[in-house]
Amino acid sequence: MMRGAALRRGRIVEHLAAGSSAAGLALCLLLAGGIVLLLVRAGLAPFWPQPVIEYTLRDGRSVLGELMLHRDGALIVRGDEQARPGDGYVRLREAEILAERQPPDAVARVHADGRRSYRLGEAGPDEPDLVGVDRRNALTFAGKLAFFGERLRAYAIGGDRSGDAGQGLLPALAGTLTLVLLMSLIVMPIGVAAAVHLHVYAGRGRIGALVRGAVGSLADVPSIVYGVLGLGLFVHGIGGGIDRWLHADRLPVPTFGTGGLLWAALTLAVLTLPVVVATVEQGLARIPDTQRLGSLALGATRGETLRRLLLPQARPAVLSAWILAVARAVGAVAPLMLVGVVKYAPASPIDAAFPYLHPSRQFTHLGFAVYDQALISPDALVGVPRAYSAALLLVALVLVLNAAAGLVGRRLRDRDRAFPL
Amino acid sequence: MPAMSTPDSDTTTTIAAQLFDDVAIALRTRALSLWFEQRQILHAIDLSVPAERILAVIGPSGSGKTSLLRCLNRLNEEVHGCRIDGEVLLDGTDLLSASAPVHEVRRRVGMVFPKPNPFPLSIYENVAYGLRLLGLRRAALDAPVEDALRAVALWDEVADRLDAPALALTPGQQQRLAIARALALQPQVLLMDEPAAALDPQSSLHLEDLLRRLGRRCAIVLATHNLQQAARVSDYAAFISDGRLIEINDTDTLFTNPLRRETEDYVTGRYG
Repeated sequence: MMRGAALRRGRIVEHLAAGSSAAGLALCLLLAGGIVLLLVRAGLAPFWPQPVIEYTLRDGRSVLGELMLHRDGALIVRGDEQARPGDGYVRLREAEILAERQPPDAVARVHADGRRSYRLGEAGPDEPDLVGVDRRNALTFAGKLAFFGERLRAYAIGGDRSGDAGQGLLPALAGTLTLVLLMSLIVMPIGVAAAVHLHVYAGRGRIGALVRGAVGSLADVPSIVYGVLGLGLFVHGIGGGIDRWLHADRLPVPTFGTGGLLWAALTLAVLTLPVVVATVEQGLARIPDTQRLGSLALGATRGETLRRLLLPQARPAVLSAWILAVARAVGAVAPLMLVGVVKYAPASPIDAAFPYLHPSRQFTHLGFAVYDQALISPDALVGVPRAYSAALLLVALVLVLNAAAGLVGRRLRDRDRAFPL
Repeated sequence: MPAMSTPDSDTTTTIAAQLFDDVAIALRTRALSLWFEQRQILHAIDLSVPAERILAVIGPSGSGKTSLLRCLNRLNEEVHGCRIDGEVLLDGTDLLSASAPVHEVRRRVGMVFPKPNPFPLSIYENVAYGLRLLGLRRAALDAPVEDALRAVALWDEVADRLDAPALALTPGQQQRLAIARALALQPQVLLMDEPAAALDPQSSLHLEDLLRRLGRRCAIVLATHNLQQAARVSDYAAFISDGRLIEINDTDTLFTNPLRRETEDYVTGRYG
């Protein structure tokens, strides 16, 4: 009797444990999927052509424009922008509206200064500054798709709104990738060397414990602190020194003594160093010590053992260290604001002019674009969705990197199994 | 051969008279002592390893067999806080002296570990590992690799899959591979630390056959707590207890007619 009850209780506990862990897993999946779905919806929807609607009001007026928001019994409609982009919003109460229709001959127009306006019938030859005209109500699905692609492309490259030139997502993406690549080139050799030294030489003593503790606590320092460090040490300290030494003729205009790609990459390298050191050292520690002793017993020096036996086996750990570093670096926007990220880079850090990479130049960054579009944009109803699309691209970048790392990691493991080392 | 009548508390080593009179000595230790931090592991050990013979080092677990072996190829130096005193003489030079480069020492004194520890490389590259460190290229490697694999009777089993991963071999094969890996460097002395510890009885017997054949090729020091194995394989036997070398004699005499009381207690199973 007692035993039966205990058994039943055990089974219930088992079911509860399985159920709650499954629920936790489901919640994680839901959150991850939810974030991506939200970003896809909110980031891409604004580029889909919205119908041009003609509202007829009870007082006889009629308003032509796109519905932007429908909330609390009122509609926010974007009508003609008279003087500048963003000044064409009209608020209509539901009670005022007599009728609404989507006239098939409605024309949406974009002016050279970025203003939008709407007309019925002909595009109107009276205004010479038109740069884009479309009859979106009459578009077929394929036509709408083409329109969507075109708007997305224009935004990605930049310059779909005046004053936005050079602020598109692609320059920001290029800036992000260049930055992360440069950071990797700096942090990976240093991090791997430090991990190797910790593991092989300083591992067991008190100094090893001290260094490991220091590296571990570096990982917990808020990223903005690294920005301050980068500003003080790299930009003003080293950069200022280089300017006084090499570019004295151009002072007080700074060359290196201002935020730039190189300083940002160095700052991010310092930021991601703890992750790299810890991950690579763990990878080295997973290799059984009998292998190291076996190699030493065959007359290999410590260096030869490391090079021929241990480091090749630590390759997957080095790879995951790199991915973790990149993931952390892509997400760290706060320190960049102090060391060189800009809303609009007058000269891209990579171009066709020798030496192709200009480490002293300022750059744009996807993470900063999210912040900039959401908060700094003059037109909130346009800016916030664009922040979503920048965020979507950022998330996609991280996902692609992770997937690539997973693939490369599996390839490495498979190859090690088939043709060891 | 008169037995020395010494009290059991004596800490000196009992060596049968004329034991090594007619054999060459490959390696000899003089007053070899070892400390880890403050703890003394080995106490002034004077051990002679006869050339082209098998010397079994027997003794209970924790008596210092592994530590003794690792003194002979200086592997103890990898342990933090280790201190060694005394001499290890090979061909008249002291292996412990600063003038002997440690990697050179380890090439001349090979070692096989208790658990098979093949590298995650191909069978071929495992055997070639030590030779590649000497800068040999593939053309010069084929012959010594084949020779080493034949010496451990592994060649016929793996000749058609030399590029297969060594980790795919059975534990018995892996251990023979580890021996081949050490033999490829043609060491003067081969240290074997419980080489059959992780093997099933069948592979273990197979390995003992192999050891008897290898005993004619180089000096072998076999540390084991398996007395039957020591009796079956070795020519000479040394009994170690608590870091002291108690007695050394030819294997038959040590097992049947030991000179010291502690040795008798141990080999007859009355130990502890």
